[in-house]
Amino acid sequence: MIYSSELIKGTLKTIILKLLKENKRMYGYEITQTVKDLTNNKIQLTEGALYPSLHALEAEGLLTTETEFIGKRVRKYYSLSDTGKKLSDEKVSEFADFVSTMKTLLNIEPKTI
Amino acid sequence: MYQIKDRHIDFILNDISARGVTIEDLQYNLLDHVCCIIENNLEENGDFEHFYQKTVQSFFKNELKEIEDETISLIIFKNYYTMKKAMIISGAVSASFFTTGLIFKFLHWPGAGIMLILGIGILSLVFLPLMFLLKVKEKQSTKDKVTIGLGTLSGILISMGILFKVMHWPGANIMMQGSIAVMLLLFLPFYFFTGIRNPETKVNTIVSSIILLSACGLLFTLMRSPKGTQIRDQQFTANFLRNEKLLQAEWALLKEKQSDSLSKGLNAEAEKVLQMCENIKQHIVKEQTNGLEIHQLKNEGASIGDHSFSDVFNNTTVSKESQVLKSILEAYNQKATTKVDYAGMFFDDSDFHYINNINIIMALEQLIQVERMVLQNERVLVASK
Repeated sequence: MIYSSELIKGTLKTIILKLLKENKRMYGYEITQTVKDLTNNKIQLTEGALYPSLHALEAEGLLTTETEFIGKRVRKYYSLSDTGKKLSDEKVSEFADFVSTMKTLLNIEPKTI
Repeated sequence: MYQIKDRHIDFILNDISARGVTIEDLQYNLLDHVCCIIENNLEENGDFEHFYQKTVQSFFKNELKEIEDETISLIIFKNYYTMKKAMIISGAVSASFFTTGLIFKFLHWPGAGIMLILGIGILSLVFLPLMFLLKVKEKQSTKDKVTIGLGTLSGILISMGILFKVMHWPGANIMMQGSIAVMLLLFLPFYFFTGIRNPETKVNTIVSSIILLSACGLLFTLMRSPKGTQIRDQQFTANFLRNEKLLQAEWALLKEKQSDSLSKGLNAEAEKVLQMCENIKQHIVKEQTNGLEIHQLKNEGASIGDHSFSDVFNNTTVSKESQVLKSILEAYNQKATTKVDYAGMFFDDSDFHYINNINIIMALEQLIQVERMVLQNERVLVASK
């Protein structure tokens, strides 16, 4: 099952921040591949969603970038800024909390009486 | 693994920018991404161009430019929540300036003007534009966006127009007329015909359109018609000219008496007062009628309007002469047996508080009254000789 883009949209920021926290610096293609591998192809980030988010996160000051030349082309590596590091933890715990709330809300784990 | 050559890179980069992606950063990101995919998935002797086209098409729904549009909108609206907060705060601030300003205005306390300027200014230059940006972001269809844009535009124009009007700044009338034109000729038809086609919004649209039209109608009901204004101005002018005639007659009568009694004409102070009043009146009339003299008014069919005196007063000649008139009158009153009572007239107040609250007609009448009082004194004087 591949998740719908609506589901991914709300969590993309969290995914990026968390991955960069674990991996120090990554480039776009690497992020999509890592996500794909970690989720057994269940989450496939689209280019149309990933790059706008990366640029927006950079504009917000959460990410810092460095560029490297690979032959004639340029590769842009993203890593977390100090505020990005803080927000990464916040986002992850917020999402964990959200997941448990959703479980209760949708009765995925019925409470035992 | 496919080996990507420099010519491939040029080809891809050209294609990406030809597809409408203009942000350099984004171009390079996409280029690297495509190259990675090709390198990892295309066999060494594979068909580069075919594979590239297939890959790039998986990036978007309709066109590659979507990615750029999305990027721009995310960057611009990274402050979406800040903007929303700013909109609410500016709205609240403007509303409170508005209410306090209005209360101050009606109680005639100082500071009302500045509060109303801030209230209207923030409303039309901060609150409404922010509301427009946020609403446009929420709506999908171009029609909705245009409707919101037109509505905001007429809102900004009408509130700025009213502000300019009360501040006597130039351009107020054009703004007001423009806003009404935008609202009734563009916004309303657009809103009505887009809303009425959708069964969900049909009733709402009809009701809102009726309310909007009635509100405009009520506003116009309160307004004097152009013809009405014209007749009123003609009446004002006729009254003024009759008073002028009375004044001249009194003056002529006095001269007659003076020649009978062999007195040596008006005394110097009286002469000065009368002359200064005449000067100020001429200047006011000239200012109002593009250079006509008082005696030309009737023949030219020109009329003096119900305009605020402050506009004319800011002409330095009039304000200077008003100050001179006051000092001349003070000198006159020191010698005269019956004093000319000019308390409350526009030139009496050294801070010129009155000038904002009177119109040109009232100012002219006050000057005529001063002249008649002086002439009356002179007649009494002549009679007693």
